[in-house]
Amino acid sequence: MKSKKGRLLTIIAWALIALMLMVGCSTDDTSSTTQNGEASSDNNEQGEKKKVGVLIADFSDQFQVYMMDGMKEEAEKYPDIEFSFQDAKYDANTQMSQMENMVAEGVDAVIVMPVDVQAAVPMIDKAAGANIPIISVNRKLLNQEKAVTYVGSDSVESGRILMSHMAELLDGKGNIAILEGTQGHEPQINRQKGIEEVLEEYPDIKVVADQSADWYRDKAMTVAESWFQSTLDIDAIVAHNDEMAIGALLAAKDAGKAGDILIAGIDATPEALDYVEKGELAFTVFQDAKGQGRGAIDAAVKVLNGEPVEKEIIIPYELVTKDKVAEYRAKYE
Amino acid sequence: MPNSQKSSSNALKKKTIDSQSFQMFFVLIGMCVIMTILYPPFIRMANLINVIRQISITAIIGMGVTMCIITTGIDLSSGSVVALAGVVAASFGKGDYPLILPIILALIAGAACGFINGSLSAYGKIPPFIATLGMMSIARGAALIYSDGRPITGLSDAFNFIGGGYILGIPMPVIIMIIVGIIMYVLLNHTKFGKYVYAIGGNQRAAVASGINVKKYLVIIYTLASVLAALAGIILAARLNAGQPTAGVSYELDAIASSVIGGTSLTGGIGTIPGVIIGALIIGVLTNGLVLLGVSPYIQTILKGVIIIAAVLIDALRRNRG
Repeated sequence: MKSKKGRLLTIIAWALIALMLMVGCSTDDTSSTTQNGEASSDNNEQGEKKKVGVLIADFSDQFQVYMMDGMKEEAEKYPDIEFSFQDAKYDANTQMSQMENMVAEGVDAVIVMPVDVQAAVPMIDKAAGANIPIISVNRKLLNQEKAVTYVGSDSVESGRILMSHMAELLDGKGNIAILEGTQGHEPQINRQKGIEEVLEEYPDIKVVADQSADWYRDKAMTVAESWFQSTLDIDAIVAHNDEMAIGALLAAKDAGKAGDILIAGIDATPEALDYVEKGELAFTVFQDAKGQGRGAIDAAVKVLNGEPVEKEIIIPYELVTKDKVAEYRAKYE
Repeated sequence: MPNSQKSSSNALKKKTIDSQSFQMFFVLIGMCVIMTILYPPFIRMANLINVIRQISITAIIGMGVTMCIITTGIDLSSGSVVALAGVVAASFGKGDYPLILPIILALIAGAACGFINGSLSAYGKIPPFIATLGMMSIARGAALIYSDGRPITGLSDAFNFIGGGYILGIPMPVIIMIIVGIIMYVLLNHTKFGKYVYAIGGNQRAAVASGINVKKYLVIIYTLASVLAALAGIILAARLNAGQPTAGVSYELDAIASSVIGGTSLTGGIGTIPGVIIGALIIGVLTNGLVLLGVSPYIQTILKGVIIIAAVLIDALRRNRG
């Protein structure tokens, strides 16, 4: 038998679900109108409106947030095209279902930043099989030949820029420690490859420590703190991204070694630029998040209009030293 | 068997505390000895302080989670509450706001999450596992919305002092952990509230029958647990000089692991504050030691799992014997 209180709670629970659904739907509307611009108010011929699915690996990742900023800015220029952004929450399986939905819906093109290039193979096959043009962004697909184009940067190059500038700062000799990204992620593999390529040219630079901190600032801080407590003699730390470089910097400051150790990362996030300006991070390497985002939207629009698109659109990495901080900070505004 | 030497009202409980925490304490000491033999610099004061500071966040969350586990519940939302409190604190941790404002607002945000957890579990009769699992997702989403998915930076030096400062050579997070530990110890061992927490965990029906307002206390317990998680979030944001909506992922699991390694029983009624701190230290020494030795992070993960299982196994074997 249900008590009065129980029944009341049931009603409240249903009301909450209904409310959330309404809120969810209405936010969906607003987000697609902002993407569509003003045109959506007078679109009676919705059937003619082209739709592009944008599959993003993780909305909560810093870099991807800026990349989407670039995408949304560019998308506003094309009010006749609807761009539907999907968050895979860093789960390859979720992304697979999103791609299946896109295929079922019959979208006109798909922009995809794969969660995992290996796991993405079957879903790309599926979309290509349904003749949906695919634009990969930031991470090159294993079956890239099935896609129209790849918009992104060369991760190996970023590792090379990072390590060669650090080697110059060290005059070609010294002990370095490396903070790696999550093992198996495409940028981790290729940034490390770039670093190792450069290290071969510098026999007097020794890698005395090498750990993964999973791209996270707090984990990098924990790892670096332990390094500083060890007997290791570290002259420089190179990190696969700025978040980990900042973590190492905070640990170095704490250990009173901030001035003695050169630390650098990749991405040129706004916060990293601040630290480079203060001279606390030696330098960073700019990966043009917004540029990649804009490039992907541009490529999708060209595909829809039947214009030719290059097989690869490479947005170069750039070295950011103290004197260039202002120039790069402007890119985020 | 009650220990006649103890004059406490609850001798049986005290005895279990002693034996469990004690065993784990010796495991901890043993690990430290082994580490020192393998790598002598491990035992340096600076490194030990470093380890204690690293575990302070986990331990603070763990103390709250332990309370939930003692009542046969669980709190899976702590990691997300850490992130939510972190971004709320960070947004008021810059500019000219007085330092108390970010702290109070972040703790209120945490309390709200915990109040909902507790109410859903106690009055909605939703298993805490599910209620807090839902909150794990909701609080993370709230943190992302609040911060627009971006880290909140540019925090004041005064705010960053909470995570990075020292008083008399002791890091602030450690000082906060010790204060919280003492308060929680007194609360659980020397107050009516503490007695009720153990009573609810020991036998919920008996607790109801003896006139304890179990529902009310469950709400208080979950609220307190989330307040502690929020406090950990403030410390983390101050330590990282940024409120990050993605911070604290899987911190709840580390907190639960610390609690379990420290002798908290998932069947309820058993668990102590010193136990959680010892549990957190065991994980901390392991992580620190393996990094110092340059052991692969994959093996670290496996060892952590082995220790958790071993701790629960010891607990189960002891129960069967007794």
